[in-house]
Amino acid sequence: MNKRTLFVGISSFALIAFVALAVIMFARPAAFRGATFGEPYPPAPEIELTRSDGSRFQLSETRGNVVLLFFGYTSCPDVCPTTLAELKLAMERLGESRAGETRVLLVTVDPKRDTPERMQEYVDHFNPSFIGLSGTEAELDKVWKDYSVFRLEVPGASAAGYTVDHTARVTLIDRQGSMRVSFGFDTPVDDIVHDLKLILND
Amino acid sequence: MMKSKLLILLALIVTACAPAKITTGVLAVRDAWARPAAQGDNGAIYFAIENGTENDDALVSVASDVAGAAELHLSQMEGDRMSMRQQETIAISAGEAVVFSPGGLHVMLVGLARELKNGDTFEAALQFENAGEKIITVTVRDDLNDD
Repeated sequence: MNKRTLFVGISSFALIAFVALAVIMFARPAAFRGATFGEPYPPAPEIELTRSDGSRFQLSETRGNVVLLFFGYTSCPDVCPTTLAELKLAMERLGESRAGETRVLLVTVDPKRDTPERMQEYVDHFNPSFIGLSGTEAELDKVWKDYSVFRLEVPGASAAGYTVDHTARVTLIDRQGSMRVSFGFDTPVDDIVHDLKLILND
Repeated sequence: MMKSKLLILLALIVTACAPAKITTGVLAVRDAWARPAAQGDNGAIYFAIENGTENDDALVSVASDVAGAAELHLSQMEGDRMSMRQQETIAISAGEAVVFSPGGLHVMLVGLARELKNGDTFEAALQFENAGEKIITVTVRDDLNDD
């Protein structure tokens, strides 16, 4: 009797767990692999910064294209070049026509060293279609706040001078200018490509 | 009785699953690579150090002709926040391996004297507390989180 109760208990638990899992896995056909923003999708705040040729950049000008937005700095030896190399590979995997509908933006967290020229020169090493952006501290301060970007200059004994701790997350913005998905540092390239395709086909 | 047998079995499984100590008798540096980077920029070297000796050791410094300075750094993610801190030394216990990889431990190359191009190789000198100096060959390549 005891054993039978136990058996029934375990079986029903397993059934409930299975059904719950099935619901989670199959309820939403378009399952993103990155972290999603809930509906209604938050509009990506406007970004107004300077490009390397001195012209002004506005995020709203990219409407109609999909945007990948990352914050970093050009003296960063590890996390930033790794992320940019991943985005470079993601663009290659996406193919020319879909990559052509995607804009990759790098906004600096280090305006003292990163001029707009320096930013573009840096991203050019990865992919000349990437856009490097800088601006005044006040302009950047607004962008960092709007996108909840943490950044902190950390003095140290390094020959590189100070380093900058910062938020390392790539945000995916859709053609309508809404924030849809974001990717943490450890996201595999194919997960980014997968989600980009879903958004591009949206 | 049943319980004690189970415990012994469990202990055996745990022992079998524990990573084996490296007992090669030597300290070796493997798979050294660096990401492509432009002249004047900063770069990073990654590798695995296997301490197969019976003595604890530590990496104390790195030098290379390709950069003005080479420093030991540790990147760490706290949630989404990336922090990077210079390290004085990196300990490698006897029989253990320490892996330098993107988003973690790395040798920061400050002010590259020349461009690091895909496929290039260059030398770096690693100074260990006990094992002394090890000259390694670093291959320039793009190694990505691509599984």
